[in-house]
Amino acid sequence: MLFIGNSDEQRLVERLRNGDNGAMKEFYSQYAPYLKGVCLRYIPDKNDAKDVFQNALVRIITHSTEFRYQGQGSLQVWATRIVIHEALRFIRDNKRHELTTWDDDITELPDDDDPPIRDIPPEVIHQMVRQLPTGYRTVFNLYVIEDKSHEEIARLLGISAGTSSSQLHRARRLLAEMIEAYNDKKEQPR
Amino acid sequence: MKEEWKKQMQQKMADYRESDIEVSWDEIEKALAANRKPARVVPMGWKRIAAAVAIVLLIGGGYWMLKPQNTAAPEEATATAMNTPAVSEDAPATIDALAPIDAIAPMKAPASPVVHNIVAQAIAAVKAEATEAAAIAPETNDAQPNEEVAEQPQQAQAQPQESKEAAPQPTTTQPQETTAQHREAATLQLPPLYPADLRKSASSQPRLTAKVYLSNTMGSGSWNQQHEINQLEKSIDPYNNTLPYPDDEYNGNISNSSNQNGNNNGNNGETGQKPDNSSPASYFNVVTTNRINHRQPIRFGFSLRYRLGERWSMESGLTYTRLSADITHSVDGKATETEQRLNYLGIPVSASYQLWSSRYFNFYLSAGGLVEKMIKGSRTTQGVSNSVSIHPLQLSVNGALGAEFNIIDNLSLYAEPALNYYFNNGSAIPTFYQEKPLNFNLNVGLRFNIK
Repeated sequence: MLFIGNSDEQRLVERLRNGDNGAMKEFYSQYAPYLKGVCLRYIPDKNDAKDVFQNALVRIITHSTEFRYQGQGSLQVWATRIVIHEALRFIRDNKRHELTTWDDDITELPDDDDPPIRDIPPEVIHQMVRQLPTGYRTVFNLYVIEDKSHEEIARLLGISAGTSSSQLHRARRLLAEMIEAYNDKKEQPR
Repeated sequence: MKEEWKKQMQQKMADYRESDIEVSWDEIEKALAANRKPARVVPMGWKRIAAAVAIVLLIGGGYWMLKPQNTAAPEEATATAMNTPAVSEDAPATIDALAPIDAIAPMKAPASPVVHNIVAQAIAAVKAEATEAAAIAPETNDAQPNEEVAEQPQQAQAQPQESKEAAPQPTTTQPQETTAQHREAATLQLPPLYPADLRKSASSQPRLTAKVYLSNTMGSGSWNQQHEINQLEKSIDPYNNTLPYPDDEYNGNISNSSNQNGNNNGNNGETGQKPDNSSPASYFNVVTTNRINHRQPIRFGFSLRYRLGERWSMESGLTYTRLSADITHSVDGKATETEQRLNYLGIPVSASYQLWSSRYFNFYLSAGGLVEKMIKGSRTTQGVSNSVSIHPLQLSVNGALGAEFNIIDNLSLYAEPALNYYFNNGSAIPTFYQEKPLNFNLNVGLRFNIK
């Protein structure tokens, strides 16, 4: 199965590289749902997200000839990266002021316990992340989902590593509250 | 934050699909088409190229028409060579006018061959690249005088000797006698290098001529082109030089450096959502380079030339061209070698104007275009071959100065130093044509007079 999946993706990459219009459509139907999810996780507003997603798709397709297949899933990783890139560009251009908050401090923050998420469905987590303020959400996405360090986030967003760290902390605290509320609500009807 | 929690979170998001953004494929396609529309300045660039070709022809031809009795073929050859760079001096004005537009329109690059309407895209590419022609043209100021001027005097010097030696030889044919007669008269003139009367009369010339030829790019064969594609915005999309922030980069490759041949080393997981994320530092930023070593293109062709009048003739035929390149792709220092081979069939159409002709020699200018279609292409990496296709047609224009030597009746050997310009056809596959759109060729071949 793995091999079949592998070669399918590889074949799609090859067709994309050759400018095959059908391949582009196929890429869209196969990857758009995931990429839309990524896009909305960074840009909660649907209209903004639509613009960003559209730009990203155009970029992905026009640059698909530059992509080199490097194993299963690499096409998605590459495409995701471009979506994130476009999202960050949008945030920096339009929401720059929301990336930092007045109460940024670099004081040592206690490492709270991670809120339990095992039983929470992905769409709920997704909605919660979307509800976070822009700065928190962006840092959270980059640090937790994209596995980036605070130094990298600082560089990507044009903020300090300390700001990134405190934004993440606040994001997690806020998320923990939401998760707690969700769990309470879920338990109540019983 | 515990790693496990992070992993859980990543997994949840990896499985998440969303349809809440209402964008259909049709809309994306429209956006793609809009993205691909060339700038409006284009027709001017195209006109300039046409004008340049016309000027080369007119100046070359006009010089001769104005001085019909004067004799100086070598001077003419040099004059023509000098005129060509003069034409391209036009270009800087265009650059000034166009550069800001390109800079302002970051998404205007005709990046990949999406549109399947080959003709439409080829035309769009021609238009778009016509502007680039202007940008490239200044190079001719350097390149042309060196090569072409150097070329002409050699031919020019070679001629007087041969024609002098050849002319006195006793032969019985009618044209030969007249040639000999005129030669005497010619020696009285100053300077007697190329008596005008030595020219053949048009009626004695064949009407239909066939030729076979080999064409090769002049100068040393190959060169290296370094592509830094780790900064996609900066290098692949050269139109976008408005970076909103520093370090604005992602690259065409992910950081899976150990695995570039498609082997799955197992850490991708069954879902394949996140291949090797072990080096987050390189997630956005991997140094990836492509070094492309283009070999000399080789072209064979045959064509038929039909004489329209005393000096003008039209020519068309068929060409076969082979482009080869060695591509070294490195990701984080690990290199893979790929050999790219592209085969083209083309149809050339050109007009030529005879400058001067004698029994043994014939000089002419020609200008024309070539439409090529890539018929077969392949990329071979470590023994594995994949086919490559380039849908859009490859268009080019060329101008040449030809020197022909009649070996025997109805058979002549000729050489044409030519200047070619290849329009970008929008394909993202790197080709010699795209790396060096403006180049010199030397065409060498045989002509047979048919009737």
